[in-house]
Amino acid sequence: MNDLADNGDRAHAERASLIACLTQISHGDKSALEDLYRRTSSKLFAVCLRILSDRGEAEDVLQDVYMTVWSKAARFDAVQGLSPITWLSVIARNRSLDRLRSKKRRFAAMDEAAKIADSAPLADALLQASDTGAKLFRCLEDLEDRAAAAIRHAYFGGLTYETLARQNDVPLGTMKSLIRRALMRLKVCLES
Amino acid sequence: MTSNDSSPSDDDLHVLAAECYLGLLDAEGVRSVAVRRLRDGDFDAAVREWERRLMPLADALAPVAPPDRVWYDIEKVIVAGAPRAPKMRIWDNLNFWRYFGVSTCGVGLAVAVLAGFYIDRPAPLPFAAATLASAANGSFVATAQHRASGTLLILSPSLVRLPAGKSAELWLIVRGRKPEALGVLASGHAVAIDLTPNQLGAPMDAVALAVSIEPMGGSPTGEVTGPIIASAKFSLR
Repeated sequence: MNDLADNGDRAHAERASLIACLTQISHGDKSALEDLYRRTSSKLFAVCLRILSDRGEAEDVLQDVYMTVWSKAARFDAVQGLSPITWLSVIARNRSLDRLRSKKRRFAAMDEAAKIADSAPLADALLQASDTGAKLFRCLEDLEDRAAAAIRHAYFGGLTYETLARQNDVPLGTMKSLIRRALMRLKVCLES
Repeated sequence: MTSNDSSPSDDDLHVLAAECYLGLLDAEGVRSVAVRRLRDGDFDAAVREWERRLMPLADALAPVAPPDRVWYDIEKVIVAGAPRAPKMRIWDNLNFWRYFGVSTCGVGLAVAVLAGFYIDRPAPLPFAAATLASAANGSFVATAQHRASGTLLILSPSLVRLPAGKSAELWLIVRGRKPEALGVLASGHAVAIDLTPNQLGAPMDAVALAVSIEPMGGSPTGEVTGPIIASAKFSLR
């Protein structure tokens, strides 16, 4: 329990200092951007790399993400309840997906990424994830394998129903109802 | 266990929100959800909820330290005071960054369809305009307005008639530079694009727009690959 409480405190302190960084950045404080970069870049780089499976492109997008933060930090709105790291990760994911799509090389990249993803041991994820994270992984495990895999692939690959259906060699309608059912179950499970 | 406590339409909203966030929808679906997010607060909240729910997928990735050069490059740009790296795409600066999630719902939809969002608000008078017309493929008018952050281009709802399987892509043409893709046009949707002075890089009357026919979703190379169906220079008013 103590560990949990400590973790909670740490997470809270980290969150507060990231919010402070963003506030200072929005006033043009360059050292605050460097601080934010030191604290978050490894995490965001992992997201970019996972989506793009190409170091050079991931580096480009990562730079892009922090340049965006530099000019848009004022848009971060803690009131909406997003934690700063979630906000940053969403930007990193969006930018990486944009890049992936613009490159039109997503099929090749996704095949690679899918292999990497599928071989990643779930236990690691569970250990590293927060409480809410652990719950998401438990709920995903309860889903039909194919649906859970499709949701992960869509998350990291921006894959449409059409692509997923083609990759899984099932009719489009089948893929849609499989995933829609899974999404509803996932929501119910996460809220239970 | 079924969701007895929520109505089917409620379920539909949450499923659509997840589809939007994950990027499962086709181009048509993406367009309609992007607009719905801006107009339907409940739907927007539902998308954000999925953002939060699924974030552990990203959180669980083992951190990877980027090479030092990434920070040096960022620092160079910031210290030099250059507003943005030139390789950034122009629609990165669309003024709707508050809705950064729209880009997830609309990844691949290069230009957001924010007609209502911009046009419902009182706006300063345009200082420059360009009319792009193509006898076979349709026409639209682009106007430029001053904004604190630079220049706002608004393209009036266009009627773009295209061969099946093709998209119309909009390009910014500035002398001495390669045409820069501004995004894919959708018939009947107005488009708003916010440009910083640095991105524009020239007085408005030295800037032109062009529309080319590209493969579905836009040029695969980032350069014009298809025929240009219309182009026009801005003239000051």
